[in-house]
Amino acid sequence: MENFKDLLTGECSHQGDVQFFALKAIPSNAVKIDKGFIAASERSGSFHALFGDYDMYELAGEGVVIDCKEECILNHSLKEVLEKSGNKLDKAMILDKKDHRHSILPKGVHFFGIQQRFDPHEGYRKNVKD
Amino acid sequence: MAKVIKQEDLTPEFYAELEIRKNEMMAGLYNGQEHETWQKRYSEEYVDLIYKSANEPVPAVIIANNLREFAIYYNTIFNSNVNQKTRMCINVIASLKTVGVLKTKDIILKDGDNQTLIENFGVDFNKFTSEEDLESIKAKFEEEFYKISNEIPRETILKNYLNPTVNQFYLASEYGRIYLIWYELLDKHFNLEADEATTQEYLAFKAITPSNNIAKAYFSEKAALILRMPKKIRTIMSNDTEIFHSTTDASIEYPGEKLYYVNNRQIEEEWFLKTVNKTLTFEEFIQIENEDLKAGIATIIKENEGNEGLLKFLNAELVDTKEVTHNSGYTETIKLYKTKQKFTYVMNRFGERNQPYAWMSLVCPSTGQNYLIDTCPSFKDAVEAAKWHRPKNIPMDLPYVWQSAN
Repeated sequence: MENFKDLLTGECSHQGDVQFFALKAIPSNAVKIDKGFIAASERSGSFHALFGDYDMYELAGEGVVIDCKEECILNHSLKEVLEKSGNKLDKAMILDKKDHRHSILPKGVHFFGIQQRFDPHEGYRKNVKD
Repeated sequence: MAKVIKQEDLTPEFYAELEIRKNEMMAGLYNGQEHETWQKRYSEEYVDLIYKSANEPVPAVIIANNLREFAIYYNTIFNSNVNQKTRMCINVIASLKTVGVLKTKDIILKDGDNQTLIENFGVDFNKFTSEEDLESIKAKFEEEFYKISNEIPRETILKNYLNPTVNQFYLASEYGRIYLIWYELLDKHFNLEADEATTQEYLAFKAITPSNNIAKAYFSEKAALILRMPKKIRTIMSNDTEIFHSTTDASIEYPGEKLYYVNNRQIEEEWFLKTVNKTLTFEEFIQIENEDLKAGIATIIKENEGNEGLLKFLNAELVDTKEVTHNSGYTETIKLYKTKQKFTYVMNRFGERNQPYAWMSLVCPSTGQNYLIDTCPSFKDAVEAAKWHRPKNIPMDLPYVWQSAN
């Protein structure tokens, strides 16, 4: 299995606490999954999701990998906005934003992860909560 | 033949005039003047106009002054499990408006409902002989509706609670006034050549705008439930977008209800007031797990008391500041703070106890919200701390440079 570090191109971006990093290829241990939200908040009903022609993979315990077949749009919006749009994540379109502006992902492979938070009472990192 | 107007047809002059008209329509909205000069009949006449335009009988119009009232009245009107008297009031009001006093009397007597009305409301339709009584009877049943609705125990409503919903109808929403301006200016600049009926209808709606003061509405056959506009709205401009924000008072203020927003994120009243009134303790703050709440609190303190105030609240000192210019052209300032005091129960990333609390301060490029992210107190360099907070499989030697930051 290749070293994940060697797949990184050095290009990094973020939308809120969702961070994404360009990869040279899909990691060999990535498992293909159905398209879904990259991150979601039950409390606020908001989500980060990618829209367009892409395949989604899971990197167990680490995050997701996206293989964009075309330029795709990363939106931060509300579930009710998505429902009204009728979009099933298949069409690259900009939705009304919740807080963060949309991001444009070029064609290619990208790793998505969440900004880590440190718990000073436990001494270790975990995902940011909102 | 329909007229086609394209985006490129809309000139700078058109947009300039749109901005002027928009400001005129919004003039009294934010400062409370529109709220103060409103009369119930403005909303009712507007709603009646909508129903008449749709060739529907006019409804009972119920006005909610805040979100809580909207939820209560929604349930007392549409939830048969909550109360029957309120629904009786609606039926009577709707009938009076549609067919008048005498025909309503006929219906009530024919259906054998008069005794029920006498027992519940003290109103005997047998006594009415003229349409002159209409307004006073209508007012009586409206008064009864509000009184009964507001006296129903909260538990009764919550037991079979119907989640309120609204109609997505542009003419009866906070956007109604803006849509009417668009029609006005498109007609003025491009001569839409509408037929007389459409023109008269448009003019009738416009005449009661913005005084109709409608923010949201739910329409049904016999009842229209209206939520009024807030009496005060406080916003700021952020990235060319107007957002709800105030660090001193409610961003959205209804009579009897206040909603607090910091950088467009709602913050619960309890936390807002504790922060503004300076009763929030540092110990309470560090127990908060929700990052958005912490960010909101930090923003309130920072805006009201400056950086010095925030550091004082945290009893922290600035350890490091770094400015990073990213490839997107955006410059980010990352600050690293630590408390002067060490705490026996605070650990660093190596599991070593007796450490200070530490935070990394980041400003969101989209929202302007100042986030204080707990970080490991072992860091001395703000950028190294920021790198460490990236996802776990991202190595520390990958430069901290964003291609895009939103």
